Amino acid sequence: MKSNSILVILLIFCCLLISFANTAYAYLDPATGSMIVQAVIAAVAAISVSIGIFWGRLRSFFSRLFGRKNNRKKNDTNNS
Amino acid sequence: MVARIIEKKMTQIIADSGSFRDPSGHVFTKDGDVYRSIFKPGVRDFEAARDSGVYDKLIGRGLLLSHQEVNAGNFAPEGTVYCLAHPQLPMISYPWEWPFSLLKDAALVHLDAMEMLLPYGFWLRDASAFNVQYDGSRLRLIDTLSIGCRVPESPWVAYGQFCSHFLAPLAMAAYCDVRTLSLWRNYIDGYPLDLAIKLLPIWRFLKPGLFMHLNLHARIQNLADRKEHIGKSKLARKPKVSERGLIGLIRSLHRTIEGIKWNRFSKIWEDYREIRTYNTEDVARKSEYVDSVVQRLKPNMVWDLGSNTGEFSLIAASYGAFVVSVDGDPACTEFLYQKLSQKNRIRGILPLTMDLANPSPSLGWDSRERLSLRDRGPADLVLALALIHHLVLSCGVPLYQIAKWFSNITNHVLVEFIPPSDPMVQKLLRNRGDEHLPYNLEIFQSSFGKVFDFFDQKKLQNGRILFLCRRKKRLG
Repeated sequence: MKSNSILVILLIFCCLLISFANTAYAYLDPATGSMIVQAVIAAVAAISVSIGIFWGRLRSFFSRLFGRKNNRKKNDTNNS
Repeated sequence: MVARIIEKKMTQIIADSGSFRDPSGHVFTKDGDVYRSIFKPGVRDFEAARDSGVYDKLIGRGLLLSHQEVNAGNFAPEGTVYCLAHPQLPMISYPWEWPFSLLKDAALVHLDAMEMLLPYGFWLRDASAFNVQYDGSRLRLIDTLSIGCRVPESPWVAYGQFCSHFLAPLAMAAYCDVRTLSLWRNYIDGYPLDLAIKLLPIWRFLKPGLFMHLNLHARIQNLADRKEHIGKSKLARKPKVSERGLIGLIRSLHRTIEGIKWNRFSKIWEDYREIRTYNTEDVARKSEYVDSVVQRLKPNMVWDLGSNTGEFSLIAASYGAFVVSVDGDPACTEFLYQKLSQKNRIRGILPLTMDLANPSPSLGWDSRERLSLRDRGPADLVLALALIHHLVLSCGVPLYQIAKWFSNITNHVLVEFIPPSDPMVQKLLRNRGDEHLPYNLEIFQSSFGKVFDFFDQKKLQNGRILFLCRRKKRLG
């Protein structure tokens, strides 16, 4: 739910922007309405997905880094 | 059941009455086998999906109904480029009949398929609840042609449909009343989102997912109705959505759907065995008799009408029959569905919610697009255990009408007659005086005797009698 909450905060901000630019969104059929709202949600969601990917990479980088050190330590102890 | 019949070279080819909207392809049956024609507009997407292997991946994960490419030969409709053979589904069911959790699982099947397809450059071209069916082992997408090449940077074309087919009905069922699921019968193209936000309690929109995908969505859609804007200016360009954005959107929808829980269904059914008015010996005798009838008739399709928590459905299913368990109480069908979901080894039972005094009618275009319960029959065996006294005394349906209805939907019926002296019947009659339809054993036997042959019976200690009947003739 956390990431959904962040999405909402960013969305409210986006909605404010939309409300000031309503002439651009005049006469919409419902399908266009769906496209706009999902474009806004998706733009924000893309950031959270990117953060997730970045976080995953960061974690795997550090785990590999420390994993290697641990392996080296293990190897050292085995050799000694 | 049949939209049109085309006869070619002595084989009977029947176009599926619910498959005509998509110009990419249609479903038809030939001598009972199910085929899908793919026409020119659907060829590109089909070839791309087939060659990339996404069909196999979806089928492998159990998300899509399997198919086999066959030679269209001389039986496929004109314009067919490819022809696919599908396994036959035991029973088509519709969202207005589904338990709450079945609709929820159908939504998740769509989202799982979307998340699998996006990295390969594909997506679902539509997100219709009618595209999901239970095949006897699990829920699967049945519309092979709903998988299409993703239009680069385009928003998901089926997002609006997903929200009105799944999100709005689920939220209303969970947070307004579960009986709002029957609104499906009216809104067969999905619930209007503005209706959903009017009916949902306002504090429910504190849930971020519901706020975004329902409230905000409906409000932006409603801009369309502002007539003062008509003709002023149109959307300059289509909004763009990246692949990551779409994945984020699907995950957000997933969290939102997962978060909708209906926890209020009555717990009475869990204790039903204890509150029954008859003793355990009679229950055991009844179960044994049902068991022996199923063994004797070896039915492929059983409809357990008034199934309650599905006790007798489980007996029928244990002999390999496909069982449709129908009950008017959404709490009962939800209870059974959850029980079946927890015990994955129990397969072949489909719980459906339906008021049996008002069974599912034919709906949709030309009133033939979605089939009535009767059109989906006949069953090999109907179990009508502790049912008919409700239909007569609570719903005011005369016994001869009930017998006639059974003769239209089944070849055999195992019907339980509960004598008027039974405490459950007395309970129904308590405030009725003499203002009820005639209900006794004589009338029962004469009514059923007109259309059925009685060929076996079993009397229980409590005076209830189980009659096994075979259809004599079919009335119109």
